Amino acid sequence: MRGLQSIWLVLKKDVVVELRNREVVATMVLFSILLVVIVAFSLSIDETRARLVGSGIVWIVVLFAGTLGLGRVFEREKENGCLTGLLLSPAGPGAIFIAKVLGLFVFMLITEAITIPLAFVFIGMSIPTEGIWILVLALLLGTIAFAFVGTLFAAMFANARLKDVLLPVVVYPVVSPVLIAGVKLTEISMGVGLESDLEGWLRLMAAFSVLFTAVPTWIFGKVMLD
Amino acid sequence: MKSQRPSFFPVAVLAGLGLVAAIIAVYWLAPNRLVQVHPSSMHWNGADFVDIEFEQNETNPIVQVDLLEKSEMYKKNPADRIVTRALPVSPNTPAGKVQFNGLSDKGHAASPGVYTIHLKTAQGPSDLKAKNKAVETVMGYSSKIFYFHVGSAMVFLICFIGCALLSVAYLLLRRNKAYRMMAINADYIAYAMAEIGVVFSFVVLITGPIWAKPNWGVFWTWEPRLLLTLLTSFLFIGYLVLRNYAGSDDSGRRMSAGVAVIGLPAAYFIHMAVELWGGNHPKVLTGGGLHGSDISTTFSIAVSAIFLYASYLISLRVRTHRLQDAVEELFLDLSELEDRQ
Repeated sequence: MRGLQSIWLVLKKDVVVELRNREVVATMVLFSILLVVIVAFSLSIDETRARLVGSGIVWIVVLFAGTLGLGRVFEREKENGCLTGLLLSPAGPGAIFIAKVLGLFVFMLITEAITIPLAFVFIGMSIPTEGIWILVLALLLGTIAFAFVGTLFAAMFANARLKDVLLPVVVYPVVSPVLIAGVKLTEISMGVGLESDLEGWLRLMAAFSVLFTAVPTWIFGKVMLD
Repeated sequence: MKSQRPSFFPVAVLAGLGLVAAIIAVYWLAPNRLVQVHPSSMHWNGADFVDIEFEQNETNPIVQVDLLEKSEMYKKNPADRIVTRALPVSPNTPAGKVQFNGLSDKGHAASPGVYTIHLKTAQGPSDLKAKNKAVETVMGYSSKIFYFHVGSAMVFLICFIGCALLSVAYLLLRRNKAYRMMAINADYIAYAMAEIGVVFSFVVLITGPIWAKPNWGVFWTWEPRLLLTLLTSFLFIGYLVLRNYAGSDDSGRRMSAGVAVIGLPAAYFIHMAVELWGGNHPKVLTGGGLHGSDISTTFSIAVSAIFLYASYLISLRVRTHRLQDAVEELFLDLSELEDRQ
């Protein structure tokens, strides 16, 4: 019960700060839209090509916008040794970690909810109504896995020089299964991929999300505390 | 002082001799032509056309040849197999022959690799096997790189798994006073294993394309094992970069250990994802491709030499890191002394 309360308090703090200055979500949304435009230009997109590469664009946006968000997760905590203070508080490292993950998860979901429909409109992709739940499920699972893995590394690299370079180098290989499965699921939801593979990809995505909520939470305490 | 330091000279000599023996064995002993015995498959190397020949059954003639991609993956359930190309056969000809032009049924270029051939009669699948010349002419001298390629890949994987397990041990034991030294030793070995693992992953990633160009027709293809090697070596490189910048104090050790610990389940998932994604890597070891005593002798000599050499390099790196840390500590002591004077 106490754990839940601490999670809620840290999460509330992050959300309130975000509501006051709207730094993270605004930059993420702007960046995502720019990314869609740039990718659409560089692939000289048309309707047939949109069907083939559209699902990839969706996940590039999720991944890159997420990375942008990752850089900010512990940015405010760096000043005045705030991170150390948080970790020393009676909340415990697990609660802090989960609160931070949830914060990133919420910001990423808001970004996705704004950007992905826009991307569909811009690129001219279409999705059948019965495919929407697959897309939403894939995005939810993918985002939660990305948030857990990413937040762990963001915390570890918070004080490293070269943080901005190191973070993608380590995070992208780890989340690449999510990216592959996500792209395939999105293809299936748009009616492009093989319907028979749906269960396999969903199972992979779910297994990844479950394991990578548990392992980072365990490691966080081991790595961050002296 | 000298007696405390273990000497690696004998190991170095042994590893050097082993490597020389391996090179000699690969040159003289290993066959110049590797025949892959795979009766119902063909190895398409990206050429424009391949002829597929088979005996025609007179009572129950074959009317169709199915070429199945991703043959390994769909082995379990034949009903799930993806037909890359269904080639019709005229049932009247006494000897059957069809031509495969490297396009899938949808018109995309098929990726080079192993395809399973299925012969079909009007009633259903046939017991007959296709005989294909392509199977026997693929692997010439280029097959010899396999002896170093596979050995390096094994070292790379073992280093990766070892690094992750030792990092888990470090994270679990480091706060326990009794096991503190043991934990630090485990971390030294993990660090060295990561370094040597990266070196051998480069060997794998360089020898692989050299082999793939003559055999698959391309240097690089988006294929499961290639992707797995590439992505895991990125993880390793991340580990090393972090280690270099964070330094070898306790926090640096903890962070890089965290990367290694996450890396192991991640590598497993990468493996699963890319397997599901599709693949045609030659499965020489697990697919029963090691025929003939010459091949297996050469293979065991080469693999033992590479293992010996890798363990020598690892122990060398462990000693180097220890000495580095010792020198750093001595510098600290020295500056403390100077401060006092």
